[in-house]
Amino acid sequence: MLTDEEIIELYFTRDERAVAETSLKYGGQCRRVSYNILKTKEDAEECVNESYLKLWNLIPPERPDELKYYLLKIVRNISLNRLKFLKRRKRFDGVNLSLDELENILPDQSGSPEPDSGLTELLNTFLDTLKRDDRIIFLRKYWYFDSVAEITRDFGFTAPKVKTSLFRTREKLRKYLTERGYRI
Amino acid sequence: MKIPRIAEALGNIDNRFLAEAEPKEITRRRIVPTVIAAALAAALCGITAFAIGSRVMDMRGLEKMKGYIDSKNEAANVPESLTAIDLESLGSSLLSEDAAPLGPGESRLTGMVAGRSGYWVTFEINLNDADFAEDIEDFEACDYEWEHISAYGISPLGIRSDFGGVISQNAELISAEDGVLMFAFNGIAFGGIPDEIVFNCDGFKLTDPTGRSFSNDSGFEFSARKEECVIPETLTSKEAAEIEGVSFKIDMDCCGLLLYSDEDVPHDLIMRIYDDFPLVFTLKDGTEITEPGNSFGPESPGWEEFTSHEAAHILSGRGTEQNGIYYGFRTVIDISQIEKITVGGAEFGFE
Repeated sequence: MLTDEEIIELYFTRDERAVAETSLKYGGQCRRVSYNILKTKEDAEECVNESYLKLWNLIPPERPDELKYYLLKIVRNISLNRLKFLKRRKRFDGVNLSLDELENILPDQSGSPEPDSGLTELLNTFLDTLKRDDRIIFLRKYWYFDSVAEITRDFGFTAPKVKTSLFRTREKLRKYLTERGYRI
Repeated sequence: MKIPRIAEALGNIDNRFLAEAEPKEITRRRIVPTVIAAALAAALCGITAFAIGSRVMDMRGLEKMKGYIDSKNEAANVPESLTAIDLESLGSSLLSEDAAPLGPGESRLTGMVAGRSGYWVTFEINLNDADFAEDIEDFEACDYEWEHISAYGISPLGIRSDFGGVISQNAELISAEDGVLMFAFNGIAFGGIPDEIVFNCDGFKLTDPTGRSFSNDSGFEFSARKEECVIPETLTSKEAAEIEGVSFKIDMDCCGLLLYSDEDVPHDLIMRIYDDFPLVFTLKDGTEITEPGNSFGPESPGWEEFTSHEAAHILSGRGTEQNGIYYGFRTVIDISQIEKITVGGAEFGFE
């Protein structure tokens, strides 16, 4: 399996093996993130393919420090947009509970001091304040969109611990944002 | 539909957080090639097709469960006075002593203690018709990983209630003879003892000592009716006691205890009990065992020393009759040895 640097070089030389190598190395992770959001294999597969295309178009000129997370962020973003699209078209029957839970923290673009001003930076700072276990649980649920059962299985936490941790972190985050001028 | 703004903003957080939280094994379940999954499903179809109607539990299940629990207690240094419990005496007459041999591919429940807030369960799987089983020389040397174990109860009125989805995924192999594996696990269940209890498992994976893995994604299901379970004795505290002005009582059996109130309990109080208030068990011989607050994980002090909370669940807001906290015991304790429990300055005495 090629290193990230070698794969990125393939992109730079416009060698189409770049996509195959990316898929070989990170395809499983991409499909998992996308599937967790969309709940259908077909939609997830499409989004992952769309992400490869986007990566192809971004590199060059971009040269990501960490190819995996760069790609996963693209996949997550495209999958969320697809979810939005499917919901609008009433073509998504499922419920993404993780998103519903986040809705109660900061629902939409209204109520902020400025549009998107430093929210990601605030989140980075907030995540640094959390205990490691709480941070991992929070991100597994709301970044990777894993189920509570998957989190308990992979980390050996009990389900009550996971649920309680999620509840408390959401409350902390809500308070944290409110104190910094975000209206919930 | 709008995507919550917070979800979008999370998309760009630092990579170091993503690396820290990254799933260990990304692709396990969904990339199993369809052909292999189908072959395994066919090989193990007997497991899937476990007959819910054949609700046979045999004494061997309970005996082995007791041995398993004893070994866990010993490993955790639980005082002997607390563990000298005779599971059979709790209701052995309810169980069949002459269960028929398990056929190839079949699985069944073999023993169950269903308490107010927890369960001890044993079940058997006969892997003799599974292709991969022939390749495995020593089942006891294998690692077992369960996809998901869950349970729900059906009330006397036919209403289904999930036990909070909380069944610990800690099924352990306690015997393996001639390809018939027996497992035991304990778990937490909420809401009292229902008429019928149904267990589900999505599947399991075993890894042999050479590193070869075999999966069963088809899962299995079994159930038991209340009259077939061992129902442990339940103790209720003699009198209600007040914690910060709210009146509580305790119900307890060998599987766990429930600290509950008939009053509305402020959420803040529930959280503080959960977080900060230790449980102090005073035994009849004067021994005191303290279970610290917020001790709901293996990293907590006292976790291995006593029993205690393999998990707990906060019920605040689910109705005035069930405002409280369930504590599931990781090991079975002999509740007849407990004289009182102190929590948050309140003393709960038992006959």
